[in-house]
Amino acid sequence: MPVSKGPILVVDDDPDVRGAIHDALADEGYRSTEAADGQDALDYLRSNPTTPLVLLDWNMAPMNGPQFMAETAKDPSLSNIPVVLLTADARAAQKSKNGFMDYLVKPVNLDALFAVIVRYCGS
Amino acid sequence: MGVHRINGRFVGRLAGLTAAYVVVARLGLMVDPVNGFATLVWPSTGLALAALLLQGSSLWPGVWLGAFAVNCWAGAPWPAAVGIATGNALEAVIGAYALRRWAGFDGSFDRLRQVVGLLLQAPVSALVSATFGVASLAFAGAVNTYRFAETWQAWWVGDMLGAIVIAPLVLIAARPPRWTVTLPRLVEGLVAALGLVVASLAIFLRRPGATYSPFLSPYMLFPLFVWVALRFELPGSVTATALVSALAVWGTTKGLGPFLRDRLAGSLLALQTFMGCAAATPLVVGAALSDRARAIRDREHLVTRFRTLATASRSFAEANMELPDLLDRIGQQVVEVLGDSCVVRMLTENQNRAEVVSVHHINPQALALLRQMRGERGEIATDSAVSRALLSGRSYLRPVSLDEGFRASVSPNLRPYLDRFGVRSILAAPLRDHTRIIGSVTATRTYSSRSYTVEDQSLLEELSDRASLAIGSARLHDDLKVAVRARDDFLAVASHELKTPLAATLLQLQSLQRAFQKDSAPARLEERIDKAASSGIRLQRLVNELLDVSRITAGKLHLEPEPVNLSQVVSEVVAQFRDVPTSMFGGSIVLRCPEKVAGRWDRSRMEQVVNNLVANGLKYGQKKPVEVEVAEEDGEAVLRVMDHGIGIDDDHRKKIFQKFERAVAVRDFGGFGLGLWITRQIVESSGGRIDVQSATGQGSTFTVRLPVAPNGVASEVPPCL
Repeated sequence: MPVSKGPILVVDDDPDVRGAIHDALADEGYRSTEAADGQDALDYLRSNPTTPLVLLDWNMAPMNGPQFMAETAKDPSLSNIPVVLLTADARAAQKSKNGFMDYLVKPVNLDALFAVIVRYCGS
Repeated sequence: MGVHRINGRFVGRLAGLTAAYVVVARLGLMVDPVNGFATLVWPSTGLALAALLLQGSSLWPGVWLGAFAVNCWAGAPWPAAVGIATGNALEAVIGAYALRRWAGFDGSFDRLRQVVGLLLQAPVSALVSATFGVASLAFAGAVNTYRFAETWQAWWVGDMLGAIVIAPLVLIAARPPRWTVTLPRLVEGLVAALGLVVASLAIFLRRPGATYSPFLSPYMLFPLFVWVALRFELPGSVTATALVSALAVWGTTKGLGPFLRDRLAGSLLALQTFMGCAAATPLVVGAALSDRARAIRDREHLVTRFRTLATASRSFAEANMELPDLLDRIGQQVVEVLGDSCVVRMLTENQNRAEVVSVHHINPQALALLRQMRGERGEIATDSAVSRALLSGRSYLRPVSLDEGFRASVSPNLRPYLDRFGVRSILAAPLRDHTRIIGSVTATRTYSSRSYTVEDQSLLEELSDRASLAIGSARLHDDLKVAVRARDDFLAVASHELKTPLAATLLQLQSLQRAFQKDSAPARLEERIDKAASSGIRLQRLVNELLDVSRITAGKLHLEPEPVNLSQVVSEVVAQFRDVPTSMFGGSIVLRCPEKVAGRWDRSRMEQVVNNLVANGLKYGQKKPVEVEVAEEDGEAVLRVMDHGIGIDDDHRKKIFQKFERAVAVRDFGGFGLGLWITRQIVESSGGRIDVQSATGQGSTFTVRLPVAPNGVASEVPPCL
């Protein structure tokens, strides 16, 4: 298990979806932790700046994906953490690609998800 | 006759009638009385008859008193005067009764039936008067027996002529016709009158010995009578008759004119005969023409009314069931038809207040003042015209006198308008929804206008009835829109809510599939997980369709055109279908496409279009090959998907592009019936079109044509029901 930096952060406002991703990651031997929205995620990252990867939902309340990205961009300690966007709207992802390291179109295909995770966290 | 209260007003009328009777009788007696009492023309008979017709038969004591007084004055012994007065009063009462009962007299004197009635009753009621009068004189010894017959005859004819000549004059004068006086008409009237006067003078003042001229015969007056009757109807005829009669009497009593005979009685009878004919002829002709003119006016009136209502109905229909527009049109139509102002009110939910929803006025300045009423919610007071209409459900016509009481009763917002323009007359009618009263339409006329009539009232009723129907439809339409919106909102929420747990479920299933791949679980478990995942994917496709529907319906289908090679898109989609085991569809796909058919479209939506059409072809293709073709024809990109399956019959072909429609039974082929509707929305939003050719049992060909140029690309779909 090459995960040395800490757990992957899964940010999604739906607990079932977060839970499913968490379970899938666990099956493959990755540790993960969950946040319910952008603000929750920011709070977590500020105390855990060594988080290796953020899997971020686009549509969340109160703080959504783009707002979260704007916040991390302002904070140098967070701006280097890679963020992968999970979204149902492929165009939104294409348009905002600059802020993200990568994106996955929902419904998430696990093979694609792990391909991305391997890229950022190693296998 | 009814029971009359003896009050000051009645006594005043009685005294007035008595005095008038005496004056007119003295004038009559000045014209050579036969035997001092029976006159050539007894104009009082006409006056008495007209008075009793206009004011009610209970005024008979006035006739009695007048006749009594004038006969005493003329020297009759009082018992004879009592008899004469009774005869005269009876004559008037009988005449008035006959005209009311059989000639349809209702206050106005303008019909042939009334004229004929007058002419028929005059000889009969004059019998009574003549018999009473002459008998009374005889009993009192005031008339010689040998002159009895002569006196009776003069009395009878004199009374008859009085009724025929004078009563119409009084009746017409009491209700003068409402003619618009124009200069040519005034000139014509004066010329006719002048002609009658000149001719009458020439005829009736001719000296007995003067040279005979055929042009000076009395019958030369008849063409003039006909002229007057033709042009001025009954009022003209009545005036002409009275004028000529007066001149004829004057001339004859001066010993001039064509009616001189050896004996006075002979002269009188000749004159009276002429006067009878000269009075009756123009009266009948004039009345007939009045009837005809009225019939024409009535018809024109009906035509106008019909047109008015037709125009209003059309205007209401043109509001397209949009309530605010409709209310505006109602006000507009009422103002156009009835003037001067119109205020439409609708009852509030709890029915205790009426809100002003539409205000119109023909005068813009007045409208500016009146507009302040808009939105006002007045309580329903019992005394206003509006409230009466709202509470009783009947229309209400109210003349207004601008006193302080009325001013205080209107809303303060209305007072500046009232002070400046005044209100002459108010008309109010209720608006109904079936039997329930839902509002009112009020029309008012300012001080400078005429009052509303009963005709206007019934017209407003008709307009309000039509308005009510239109409002009913508009309200139903509104309710429908609300219901449809609720459905769409629900669809949006439901599809969105279904999506997330489904995504979580599918993720879990994927995890399981991966786990089984690694740890090689029992094969039957793996197979079931695969089946669950495949069901989940189908469910997800359905949910996505619902989401698309709610997006399109809400006008939120955003297209993002980019350069797209349609051939490539089609090839990729077809490849995906080929990956799926043929057991799922059974049919193969034959693809024919050139290397490149390029245009600017939304790539993922184009994928969806191809996907929907190919899936449709496989679904209904009865396992026969589905042909997919891409081409460029006439500057358009064309996609054809041909199957050789069940086909679509004519009835269904028209409907398959509609929402929730399918050509086949749900139990045979699943799905929401939304795929083709969504496909059509995407194609049309991209500036293209889609059609289908099909024959039952031979398959269907769907053809999509898309503009390759970017200018046909719409970025949004308009919201639709």
